[in-house]
Amino acid sequence: MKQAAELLQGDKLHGPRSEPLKLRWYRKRTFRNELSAYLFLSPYLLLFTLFIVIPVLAAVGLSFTYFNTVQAPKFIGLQNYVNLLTQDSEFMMYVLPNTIKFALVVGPGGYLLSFLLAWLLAQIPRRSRTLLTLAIYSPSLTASVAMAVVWLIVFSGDSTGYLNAFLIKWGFINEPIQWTQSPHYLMPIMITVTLWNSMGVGFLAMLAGILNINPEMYEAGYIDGIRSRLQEVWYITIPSMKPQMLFGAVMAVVGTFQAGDIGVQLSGANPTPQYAGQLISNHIADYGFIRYDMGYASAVSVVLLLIIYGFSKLAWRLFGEKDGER
Amino acid sequence: MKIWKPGIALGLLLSLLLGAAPAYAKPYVSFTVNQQGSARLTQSAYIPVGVIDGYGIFGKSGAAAKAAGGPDFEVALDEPQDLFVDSGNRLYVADTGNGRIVELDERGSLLRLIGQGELKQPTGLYVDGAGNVYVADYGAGQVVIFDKNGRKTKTIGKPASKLFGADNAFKPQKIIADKRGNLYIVAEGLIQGLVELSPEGDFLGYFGGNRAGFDLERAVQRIFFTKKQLSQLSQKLPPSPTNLAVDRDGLIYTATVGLESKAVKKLNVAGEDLFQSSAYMDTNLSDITVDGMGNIFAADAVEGLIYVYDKDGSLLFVFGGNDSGDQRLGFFTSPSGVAVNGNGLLYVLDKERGNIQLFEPTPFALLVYKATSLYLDGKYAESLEPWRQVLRMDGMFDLAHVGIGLAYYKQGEYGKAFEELKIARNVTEYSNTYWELRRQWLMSHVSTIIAALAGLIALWLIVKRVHRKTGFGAPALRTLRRIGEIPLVRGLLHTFRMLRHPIDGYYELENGRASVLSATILLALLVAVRLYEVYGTNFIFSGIDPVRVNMIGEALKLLIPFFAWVVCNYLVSVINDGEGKFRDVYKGSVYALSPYILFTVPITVMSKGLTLLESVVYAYSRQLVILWCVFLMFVMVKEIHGYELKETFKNAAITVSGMIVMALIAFIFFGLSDQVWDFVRSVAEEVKYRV
Repeated sequence: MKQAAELLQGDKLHGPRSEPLKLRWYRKRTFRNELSAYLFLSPYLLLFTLFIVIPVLAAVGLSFTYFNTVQAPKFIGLQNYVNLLTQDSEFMMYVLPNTIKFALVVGPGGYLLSFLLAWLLAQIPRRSRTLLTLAIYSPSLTASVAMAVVWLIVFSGDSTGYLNAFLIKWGFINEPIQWTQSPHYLMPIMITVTLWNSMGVGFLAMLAGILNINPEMYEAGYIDGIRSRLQEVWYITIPSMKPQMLFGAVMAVVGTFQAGDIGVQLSGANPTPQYAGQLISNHIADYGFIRYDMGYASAVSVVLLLIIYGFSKLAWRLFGEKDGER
Repeated sequence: MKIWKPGIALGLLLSLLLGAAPAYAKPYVSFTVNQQGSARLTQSAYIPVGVIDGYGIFGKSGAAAKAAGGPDFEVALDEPQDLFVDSGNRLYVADTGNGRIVELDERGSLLRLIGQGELKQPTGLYVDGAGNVYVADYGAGQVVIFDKNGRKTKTIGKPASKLFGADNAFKPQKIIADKRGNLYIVAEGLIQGLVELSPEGDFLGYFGGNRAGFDLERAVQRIFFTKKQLSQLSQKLPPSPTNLAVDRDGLIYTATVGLESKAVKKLNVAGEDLFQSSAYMDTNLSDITVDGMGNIFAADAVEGLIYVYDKDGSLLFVFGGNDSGDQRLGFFTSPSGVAVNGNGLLYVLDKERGNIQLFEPTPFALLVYKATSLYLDGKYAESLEPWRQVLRMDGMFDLAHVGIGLAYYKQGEYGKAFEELKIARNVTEYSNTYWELRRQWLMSHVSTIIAALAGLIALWLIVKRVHRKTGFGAPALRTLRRIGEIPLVRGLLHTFRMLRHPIDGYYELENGRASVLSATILLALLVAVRLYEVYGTNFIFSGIDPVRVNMIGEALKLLIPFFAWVVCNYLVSVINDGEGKFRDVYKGSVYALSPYILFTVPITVMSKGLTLLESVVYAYSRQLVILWCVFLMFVMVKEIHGYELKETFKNAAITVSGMIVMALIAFIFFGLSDQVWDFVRSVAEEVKYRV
């Protein structure tokens, strides 16, 4: 309030002699105010620029070059992108379809799952809720450890692997299946494990969002004629936690497209057997760190960036606040 | 994506043939199974040229026997079970009933008899390159080996090895030897596979057994039954191979009666099946043989059909058939053995009739063999010409189109390959070709596309900005909005609102946002969209031949369940305190299908640009649309009738069962009315005839 009053005053005061003010713009009080804010932000801005903005820009720049990490980058224009679409048959035949399949199942699947679990958790008393939350959240805490301890043993390729042992014991199969080496099974296994793993930050945010809703809203809703739990969720819960839903959605999109490591971890090879579990991020690692074609890898990562950007935009449209429509 | 319904198809074809032709002149036809798995007539592949029936075949030794007046000159066969042709084109028959091996020359004259009096019940035989004759004597339970002079040199009884299994009986039925002289024997009841013996007769192991496969019932039993109960169940055992053959390269082929998918197997040294093809395999194959080019001939003992496969296991021809008692050439009662000699002459042994029929390949069959063998050897360019000649003789021969298409494909002429494979409707190869075509197109156009996209986005942004600043284009927008306010258009545009706000959408729907007229227009649109989907979807995904689609049938397939749903739902809800009027149920059901109306056309258009690799995109988007429709339908029931969640589930379940009952009643009604109509008509005809 005080600031606003000052501003008003300032306008009144400086209004008539605006001409010389333009020359001495930096003396304007508002800018000084902002300057302090920028100063306050500067450590973050500095680090953000250093570690995020510059690398991304560098990647975009490198994507127009041929760069083998030994010689200096050589500018080749859009060639990398054209190659990506026309020459790189692995990318078009396996990597892109795989990524789409993976993202279509894991993204919305994990998102719905985390919302559902968060909603269910919000229904139970506080003490047991805390424990259960921890239990459900633990997969994403323990990702790499659990990978080695749980999943690799479950999907072990010999007859002592849990799944194989179980299936053989009950007569579903005759001989052990090489789960993580088989092109048929790798993708479903990746999807299963990632879904199991998907209770990440988004899940906690959603839980917080649901718990944050004022209970009076529900009471008001019931007075206004809400008749069922479904309507309650639809009309009150989701609209009231849109920011958290948005956050969860964006995290799900980013997480899904970044989760390429899982296939490599499971199968122990990059590229994965017959490209069955190859996702875009594996492809980037393949070209960048195995073949040392940094320019091409940058081009692929720029494409990945664009895809993620596009999907985040979609999430914004679905869950972001809008003024007009509502 | 291939659906094999060969049994039905064959049955249909045969019944058509039987129905079409008078009983006394069953036509002698050859047919093949096309890429969709249905049978199709083709040019004759083999012509019957003669029969060896055992009477009046004398030859040199037969003539001598006759001259001596002995009773043995007659070589009538009694229940012969196996047939073999050696490299010198001499014919060996296991004359089971008479306990001997008969050796004939190419034309069927008797050369000599082997093992007369020494063999009990020979059911299988094999002759190696040196002229040694291996006989599986089922009756004596042993394998007998004769040298090339017909002297018995060795008998091999039950293997002594413990690995063979002490309780297993040794009843050899069929036998072959590979290049190393190892014997492979089909023995009765040995589910483990073929018995493999060394040349000395030592047991080496079981080879190439079949698998029992997974059985759901058995798995459930295993979970719930006690050990005692389980031990009382009869065990489920894999079928043992029925017959076997060996080719020039030493690969062993087995045929198994009762296997659905892998009735014919091509086994490598490790006993693994080399066939990847999902070609049609008959389930009653009694004998198989391989010719010099690797083509596989198999006889079906039940249907009396001869199947010819190429060396990759694709079905080329089927011919023959059961003899319906007219004793004609080319038909069989129970073929028990097939063999091909070096000139391509095919011999089929008939167990019940005790004769051997001779078949000569037609030029058409020879052309097909030539083309397939060239193609399978990788000589694609050279295979083009024979394939073209095949097409000149039978323009509908699918394999020729596939062959030509693949030859073009391997040469990099994707455009031509695409056209050929389109005719053949071979989904996988068509998809691969299309992928290459698309890549070529992309290669030449990708920079233009990127530039155009960037330009469009820039243009859109500029127009938007100009519009905001200067109000450019505002009148046009205003007109659009005014059109949108017209009630009917508003009703139609309501479909878009249903997508984002289903619950509100139904509330507005009930309160006059949509009229019956707009719903009916949408329903018509729905039918149109469905028809477009049927005709327009890339055949990789639909698997439907648009030429064969019946438009009215497709429309009815959509409309009848739809109206059944509307009527049932209304009737059920009236009983269950539903608030919805019939009109509302009708409107609501149409609007519940709005995702389908809106998204099917884009998905169908998209399908034309996709290949099998991206099928997941197509499949998921379709499933999503359908799930969305189901969800909207559900919300419809809930909102229109003012139900709680539980009541909604109940109502939906009762409605669906109501639909089933309705379908049943309709079925009975139409069935009965057909009978009544038949009755009335026959009475009328009777009257006409009498009066």
